[in-house]
Amino acid sequence: MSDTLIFYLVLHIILGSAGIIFLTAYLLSLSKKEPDSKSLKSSSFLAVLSFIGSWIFGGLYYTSYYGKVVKPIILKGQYSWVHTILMETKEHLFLFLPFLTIALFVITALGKKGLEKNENLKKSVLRFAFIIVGLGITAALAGYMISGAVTK
Amino acid sequence: MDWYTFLRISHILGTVLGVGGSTFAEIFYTKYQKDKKIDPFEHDVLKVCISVIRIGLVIITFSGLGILVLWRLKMLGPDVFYSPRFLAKISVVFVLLFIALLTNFRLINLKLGSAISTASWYAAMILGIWRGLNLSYFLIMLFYVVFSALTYFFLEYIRNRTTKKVNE
Repeated sequence: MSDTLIFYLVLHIILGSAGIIFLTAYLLSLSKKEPDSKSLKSSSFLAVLSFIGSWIFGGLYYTSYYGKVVKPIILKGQYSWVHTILMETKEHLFLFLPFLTIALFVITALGKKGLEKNENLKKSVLRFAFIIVGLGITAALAGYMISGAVTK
Repeated sequence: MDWYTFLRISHILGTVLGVGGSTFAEIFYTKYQKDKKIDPFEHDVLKVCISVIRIGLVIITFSGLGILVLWRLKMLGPDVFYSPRFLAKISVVFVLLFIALLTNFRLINLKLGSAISTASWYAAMILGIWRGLNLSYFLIMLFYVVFSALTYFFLEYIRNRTTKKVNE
């Protein structure tokens, strides 16, 4: 694997993890009695940037290397279901994760007064953010399993 | 120093901070709750312990992620990634992260959360050191659940005993 491909893969992992961390920071901040709208806005915005970055570098790695080299290795091995089930699931989660995070950022930016005063809206947004974190962690775990199926 | 050495040192440092922080948090909490009151100084000491545990958790998570990336680049494969001991260790670290979140949202009883957290730190350390452990994932996790329950009852017993002594 070339240095450029290693760079794509490592950035995909780092940015994806950063996205989950920013969203967790968002969750913790929103759960406070008086959430700070600035920190909510910045953490959701950073999560959007992280997921889009992870999307771009993951996509570059997938199209230029994974599909041609890694996928055949996994399919030939004992754990072919890792590609057919987990990678296929991860690809779909991966497609809409940035859009869900953009929706969260827009809700936070437009409804900051509502989030401070309206408890029901706050609870709904908390649940929404929790679902995105859950999907992010699922994608990360799938990534772990896929990495484990790659052997020499 | 190469990346692998740096990440392993960080991983051990994170474990030391987590195991040490949670041990001292339990010791101080047991000592301070004898009179069933936590004064501001005692509260500050416990807060320091919790900060040390959180720093340990962050270090162990990131260094672990770094080690996984290096293993992926070396293509170590299922023998390493899917080994029952390693899967159990990752599950225990996930429990630690989950308990930290539940405690923050006050969705778990503090004593129970603290006992599970302490047991999990020790379990993660033992699983990290015991390289020759040759048991199935489910058996390791069963031992972990039993170990967490025993830790909870042991801590409760010690706390009740120290409180009784003060009342006498």
